Amino acid sequence: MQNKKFLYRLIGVNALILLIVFGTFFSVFNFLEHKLKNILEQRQNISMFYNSVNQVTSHLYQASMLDDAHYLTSAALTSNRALAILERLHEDGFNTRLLEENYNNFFRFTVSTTAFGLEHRLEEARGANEMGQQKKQELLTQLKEIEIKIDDKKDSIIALIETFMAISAFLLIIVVVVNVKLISNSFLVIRTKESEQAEMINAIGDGVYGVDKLGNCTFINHSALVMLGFSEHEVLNKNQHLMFHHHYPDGRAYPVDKCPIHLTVEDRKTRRVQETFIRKDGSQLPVSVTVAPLGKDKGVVVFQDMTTIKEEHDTLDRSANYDYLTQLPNRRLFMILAEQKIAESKRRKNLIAIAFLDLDGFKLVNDFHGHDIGDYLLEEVAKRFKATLRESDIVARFGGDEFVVLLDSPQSIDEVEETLKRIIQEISHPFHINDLSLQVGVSIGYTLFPEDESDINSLLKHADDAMYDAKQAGKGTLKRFQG
Amino acid sequence: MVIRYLTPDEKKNYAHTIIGYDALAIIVHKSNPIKSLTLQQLIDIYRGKIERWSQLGGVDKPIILISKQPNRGLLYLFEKGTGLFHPSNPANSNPAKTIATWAWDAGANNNNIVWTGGLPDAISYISLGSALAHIANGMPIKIIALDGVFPSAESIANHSYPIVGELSLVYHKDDSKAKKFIEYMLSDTAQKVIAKNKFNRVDYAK
Repeated sequence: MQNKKFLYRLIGVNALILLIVFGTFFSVFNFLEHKLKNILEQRQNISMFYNSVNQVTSHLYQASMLDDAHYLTSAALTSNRALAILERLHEDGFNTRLLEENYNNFFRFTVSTTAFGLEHRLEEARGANEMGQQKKQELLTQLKEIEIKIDDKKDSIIALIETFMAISAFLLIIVVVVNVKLISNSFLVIRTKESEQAEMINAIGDGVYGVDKLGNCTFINHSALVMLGFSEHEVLNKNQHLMFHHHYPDGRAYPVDKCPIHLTVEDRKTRRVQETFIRKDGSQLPVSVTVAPLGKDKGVVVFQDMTTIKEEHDTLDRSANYDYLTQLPNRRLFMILAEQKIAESKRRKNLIAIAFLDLDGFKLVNDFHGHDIGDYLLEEVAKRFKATLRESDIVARFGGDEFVVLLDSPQSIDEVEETLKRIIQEISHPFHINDLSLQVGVSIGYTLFPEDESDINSLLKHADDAMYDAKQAGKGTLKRFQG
Repeated sequence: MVIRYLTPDEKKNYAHTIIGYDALAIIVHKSNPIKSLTLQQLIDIYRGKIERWSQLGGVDKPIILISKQPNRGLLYLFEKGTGLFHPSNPANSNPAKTIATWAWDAGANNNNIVWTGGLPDAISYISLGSALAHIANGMPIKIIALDGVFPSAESIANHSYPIVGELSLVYHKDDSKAKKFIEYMLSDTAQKVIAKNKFNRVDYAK
């Protein structure tokens, strides 16, 4: 910004300097040229005057030789021209009065010579001729002096013009040199700034790249290249939409007219979206993308790799809601899911069975074979529970060897009892771990909603109570809550 | 042939006959803005009292005075007409009546005319006939009025123009050939030639 201002100012100052220097030069040069022209004119006038003097003499000579009055007229007219030239020189500032007086005398004696000659008064004619010649010599001497003066003037003006041109050329060179210096400095600063900005963009951890209105990549930073697995020359000036195509988070490709980058370049509005890029190796890169308009018709894309964040998020989600050992929902998640099912059941008026399951003989296995075997057994138990139940049913581990099952919309109590009995049966088969064959059982208590119209906590309590009854009645039995 | 008046001696020794009239025309350069002078102004110019054209409403330059050599007929006519004398004329005893010493003395009429035509600041007097002949040739001079009257056949004949001269033929009293020539000059044929040469016939007034 600072530099732009500087450049504008430089251009302004330059224009001013050029205007002043060359405006002055132009007018002074014009003035001097006019002067010079004037002087050359004066020089020409002098030679014209000299010619006129000679012509006067020759006309008068012709008049006397040919006795023709017309030559007298010509002599008079030529004399008028000569005096007119002197008058012009006088107006130009030369003191020609003495010259004029001399000319008059020259003319006087030269005319007299002719007139006496025509009268054949030769003695007087000779005298007048001598005087005329003398006056002519004086006239020529004076003319020479004026010529020298004019030449001096001419030389000094030419010298002045030359000096002036040299000064102008020197000034021009200075202006050019200073300009080149200032402009190159200014460009250096701009370039440094630009390269610093480029380095900054490169240093940013987020991926950054630019697109033009055709969707071609105009620049791309280091982070973006690393994340996408491309090198710069593979990407620059190529259509980024085709190269690392934009996808919905589920991996489906955008049509171009739905592409947020394309839309932003069109409507110049900033967008933030979650989507998926495709790496050079074809793998998916979940990203959080910000697209902003850049310049007049371009756009800039800033994106972050969401892979790690998503994985962390998922892990956090799992540990909060799932049992790390059996991968079954934990109590917390079960409560949420169960409440949803209950709400649904109220609406649909269907049955829900909540069962509390407690393994029989698990403590013995744990104590006798160790925790690893115990844990493994729990995992296998969980698998058998899941295998026995439908997709819509829920089985959760509440801790230790306690599990809870929610049967989603069973048709009848019979169906409930049948399912739960099948669980007891499945668990009663021995588990084979390494070379061991382990035998556990399961006691189940359950309650039915909406018959047992309570909240989820009460329902669980009722099921637990029923399970306790089952334990009392002998292991591997099933009891329904009795209200 | 003379234009001046004969001296008494000349009259005693020679016979003379007037064969025509001429006027003393005052000429200046064609470019001179002056159109007319009074006789007094003419006198003041020639005695050097008026030295510059600007004193008469012209350009600010000295007047180039052109007069005549002594013994030239027109000088006698000019002296008679203006009352001035050539500086070398012994008849003059009054310095105020002397033609300025710096006046250029011309010989032949051509001399006066070429000087006046060649020098825009000149003034001269000349025979009207010569002046008209040269003007017809394109000489850049012009005749100015004296006391408001231009010299012409009429103004000469009726004496309204101030300076008029007689053209006289002078001859030996007993020269019979000359007498015959006089008779011829007074004939209508010869008088026509005089008129053709821009002089007035002797019988113009009649």
